[in-house]
Amino acid sequence: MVDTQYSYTPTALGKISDTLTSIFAELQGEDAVYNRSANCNLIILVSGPQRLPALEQLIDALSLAHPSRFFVAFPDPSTSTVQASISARCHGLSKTEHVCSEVIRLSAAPAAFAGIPSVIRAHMLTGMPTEIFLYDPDVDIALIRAVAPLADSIFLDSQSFSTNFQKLAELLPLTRTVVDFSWVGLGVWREELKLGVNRCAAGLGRPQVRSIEIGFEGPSAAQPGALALLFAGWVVNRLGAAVLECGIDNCIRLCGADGSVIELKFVGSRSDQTERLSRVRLTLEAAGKEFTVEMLRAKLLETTVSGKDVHRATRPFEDESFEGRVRRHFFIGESLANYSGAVRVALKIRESLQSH
Amino acid sequence: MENPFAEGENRIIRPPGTAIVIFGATGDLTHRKLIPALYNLAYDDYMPSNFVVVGAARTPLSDEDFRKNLFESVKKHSRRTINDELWQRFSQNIYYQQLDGTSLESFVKLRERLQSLEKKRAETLNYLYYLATSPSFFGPIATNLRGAGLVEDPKAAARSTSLIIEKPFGHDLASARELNSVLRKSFAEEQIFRIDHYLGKETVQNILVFRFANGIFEPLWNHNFIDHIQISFCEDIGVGSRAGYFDQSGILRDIVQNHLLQILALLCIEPPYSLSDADAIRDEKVKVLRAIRRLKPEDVARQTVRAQYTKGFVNGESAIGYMEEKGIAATSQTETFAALRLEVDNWRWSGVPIYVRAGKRLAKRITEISIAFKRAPESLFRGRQVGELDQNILAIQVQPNEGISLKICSKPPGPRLRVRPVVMDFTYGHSFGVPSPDAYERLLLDSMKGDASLFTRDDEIEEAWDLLAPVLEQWALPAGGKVARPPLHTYEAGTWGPAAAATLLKEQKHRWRRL
Ligand SMILES: NC(=O)c1ccc[n+]([C@@H]2O[C@H](COP(=O)([O-])OP(=O)(O)OC[C@H]3O[C@@H](n4cnc5c(N)ncnc54)[C@H](OP(=O)(O)O)[C@@H]3O)[C@@H](O)[C@H]2O)c1
Repeated sequence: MVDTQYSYTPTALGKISDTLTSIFAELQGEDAVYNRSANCNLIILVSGPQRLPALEQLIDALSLAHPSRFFVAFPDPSTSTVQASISARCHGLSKTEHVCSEVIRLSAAPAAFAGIPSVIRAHMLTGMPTEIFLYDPDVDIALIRAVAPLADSIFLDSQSFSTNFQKLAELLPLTRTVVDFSWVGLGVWREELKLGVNRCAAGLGRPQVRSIEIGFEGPSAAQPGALALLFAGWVVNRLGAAVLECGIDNCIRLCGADGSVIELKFVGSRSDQTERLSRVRLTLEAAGKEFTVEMLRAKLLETTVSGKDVHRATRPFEDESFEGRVRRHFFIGESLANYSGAVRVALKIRESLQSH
Repeated sequence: MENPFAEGENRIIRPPGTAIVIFGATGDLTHRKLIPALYNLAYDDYMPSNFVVVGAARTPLSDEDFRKNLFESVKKHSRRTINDELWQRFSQNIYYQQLDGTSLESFVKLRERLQSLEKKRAETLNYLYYLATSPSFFGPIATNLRGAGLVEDPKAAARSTSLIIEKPFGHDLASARELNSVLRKSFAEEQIFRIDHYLGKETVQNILVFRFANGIFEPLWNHNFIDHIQISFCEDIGVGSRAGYFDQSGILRDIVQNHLLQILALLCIEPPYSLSDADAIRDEKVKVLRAIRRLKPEDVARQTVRAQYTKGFVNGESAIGYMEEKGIAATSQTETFAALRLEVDNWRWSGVPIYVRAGKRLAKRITEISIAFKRAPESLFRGRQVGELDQNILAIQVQPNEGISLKICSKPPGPRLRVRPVVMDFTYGHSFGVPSPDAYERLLLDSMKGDASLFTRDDEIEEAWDLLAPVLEQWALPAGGKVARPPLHTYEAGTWGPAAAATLLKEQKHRWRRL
C-alpha cells in the first residue's frame, strides 16, 4: 500500500458528495493519479466508537480486495444528531496510479439513529451491488433490520456469534445471500471430506453414512461452537437427514434419507485459542462394505480413508485468520451454494443440544 | 428543392432578430429559469444580434427596477459567473411593460411598445410570446394577442409570431382539448411551442443519438433482447411552496403525464425519416403513445400504485409527512408517489413491461432510465458457483449526473471462475469537458429559431391524457362507493416509496433498480 489516509474530515450531511470531491481534488499530485473506485456499496455496522480503531485494518484489507464506497455506521452517545466524516483509502497500482475507496462514517446517539439509513440511501452508488458487513456481533438487531433492505448480501463471521449463534436465525431472513467467513474457513474440510467419500464410493454406488464424529477445540469444550455446528449442519443437510433426538454427551440421533439411524457426536477439548475443528470421522457403508473417512488436524490436514485398502492424503490449511478468510473470499471466492441449508440444520442441532 | 442554396447548409446557430415577450415576468419561472437561461445564451454568444426582452405583468415597475431585480436572480441562478460588462450590454435590451393579461387595452399598449422598440433596431423582429403565468391566463392572453393584432398568419407574414406555454397543459383529456382549441383560435398549431423542459436536457436528446448513431444498440432495441424498462423520477424535496398547486394536481399529472411519458415515447419510437423535420419525430412519438395499452378500469388497481409520504428522515434530517405540510387539504387524497406498469402494444415492444415511477420525498434526487436486457443463458456457469447472472443494464441518468452507464458481467482476477458485475461509465462532464447547458437554454434557442422538434404537439398531449384517463378516473372514485377505489398507500419520507411499488414488479420477477 502506497498511501493511506486515516484522517477523517467532518462534513455536513448535505455536503457529503462535495467533501468527497474535494478530498480527491486535494489528493491529486503532480505525478500521480488517484482514481475513485468502487464496485459496491459496503455498509459496515459497528456497536460503538470503541470498535473503530480495529476496524481500520479491516477497511484497509477490504479496500485492497474489494474497492467500495464504505459506510461505517455506529451509535455514539456523545452526539445528538447524525454526524458524518469522510476519508479515503488508496492503494498504489503503480508509482503513478492509485485506486481509492471512499469511507463515509456516520454516527448518532441511539435516539437519532433512525436518521442513519436515510443518509446511506441518499449516498449509495446507483445500480451497484450493496453489502452489509457485520463486523461486530454486538450490533443491535434493530439497526441491522433498518439497513438490511438496502443490501443484497450480508457478510459475517458466525464464529464471532458463538455465544449467540441463534442470532443467525434472525439474520437469514433479512437477506438473499449470507457470506459467512467461518464457512469460508471450513472450505478445506469440506473439500477433503468430498474427496474422501469419493474414494470409498468409487464404483460402489451411494454410500450410507452410519456415524459422524466432529472434534473441536476452543474455549468451551462442553458445547460445540459455530464452526462445529456449521460443519455438522452441512454434513447432515447433504445427507438429507433429519434431527431425531438428543442423547447425552453431545450426541444426536439422526434419521437418514433411507430411514436408517445415524449417530452424530461432538467431541470437544478445551484450548485458549478461538474455536477450530480438530477431527472429523465418518463411518460409511457402501455395497455391504464398511469404510471410515477420518480427517485430523496436525500441521497439515491429514485424511485417512480406510476400507479394503488404506489411503492417506495431506493438504495444507489455508490462512485461518479472519483477515486471511476475508482475503480468500474476495480474491479467490468460495462456493455458497449449500450454506443456507447448512445453517438451517446447524440451528436445529444447536436447539436440540440445548433442549437437553 | 425550393432553395438551391439550402442543401447541406446547416451551420446557423444564431437565431434571427427576436422580441421575446415574457408574460408573468415578475414570477418565479422568469427569475429562476428564463432570464438566467437567456443570459447564459448571451454568454455563449448564441443570442440574436438584435433582440429585446419585454417583461410583462401587473406589478408596476420601471425598466430599471426590473433589470435590477433580474440581476439579483441571474447572480443566484445562472450557471455562468456574472460578467459585468456582458450584463450591461445584455440588460440594455430588457424592458418592462405593465400589463393585465385579461385586458385588451394592455395589449394595444404592448403592441405600440414593441413597434417603437423595433424601430430603433432597423431589423424586423420575430415576436416570441412566453406565457409564464398561471394556465388560467393562457386563453385570455392568446385571445388578446390576436385581438391587438400581435399574431400574424404563419404563411403570409414577414415576421414569425409564436407562443410558448408551460405545463400544465390541461388537467385531464377534456381540459387539454379545451385549451388546445382555445389556443388554436388565435395561433396555428405550428406557432405553438409547448415546453417540456425534460426534452431540453442533453441526456434526453441523446436518447435518439444513442439509439440511432450506434450500430450496436438499435438491433437489440426490441422485445427479443430487452427484458424490461424502468423510468424513475425521484425527488428528495417535498411540496414546499407549491403545496397548493400540487395538492390539486398530484405527481401523475405533474410529472408522469408530461416528462416521463415523453421520455418513454423517445425510448420506444421507430426511426423517424428525418431528424430535421420536427414533425417526423413527433409523428413517431404519437404512434408510441397511441400504442401504449390502455388500462381497463379493473387493471388500474393491479398495474398502478399511488401513495403519500409520511414523516421520516431524508438524508439524516427529519421530514414532516405530506398531510402535515402547509396548504394541504385535511382530506387530501393526492398522490406524492405514483408507479405504473405499462406496455407498448406493438411488434417491437410486445411483452416488454415498462415501469414508470415518480415520487417526492424519496431517498435522493435522481432521474434515471434503465434498460434491462434479457439474461444470458446460465447453463455454462451452472455448478460453477457464480450465482444468478446479473442482467446487463443500460442506464441513462438524466439528473443530477448526466451520463450513460452499462453494467456488464465480468470475471474478477484470480484462479477461480467467478462473475461480478462491473459498470462502464460515460459522464458528460468527464467526456466532453464541459457541463451540460440548462434545458431552458436549448429550448429558448430552438424556439427563437423556430425549431419545434423538442416541443410537444397537441396530439401528443392529448394521447398522454387519454392514456392516463382510466387511472385518474379510478383514483378519483369516491370512498365507499360501489366500485372499490384503489388504495392510497403511504411511505416513509426518505425511502424508495411504498412496499406496494415493489409488489407491482414482483409479478414478473423484476425489482426496482437501486438508485
Ligand atoms: N416556477 C417553475 O419552476 C415552473 C416550472 C414548470 C412550470 N411552471 C409553470 O409556469 C407558469 C408560471 O409559474 P411561476 O412559478 O413563475 O408562477 P408565479 O411565480 O406565481 O408567477 C405568476 C406570474 O403571473 C403574473 N400574473 C398574475 N396574474 C396576471 C395577470 N392577470 N396578467 C398578467 N400577469 C399576471 C404574476 O405577476 P403580477 O402579480 O405582477 O401580475 C407573476 O409574474 C405556471 O403555469 C407554472 O405552472 C413553473
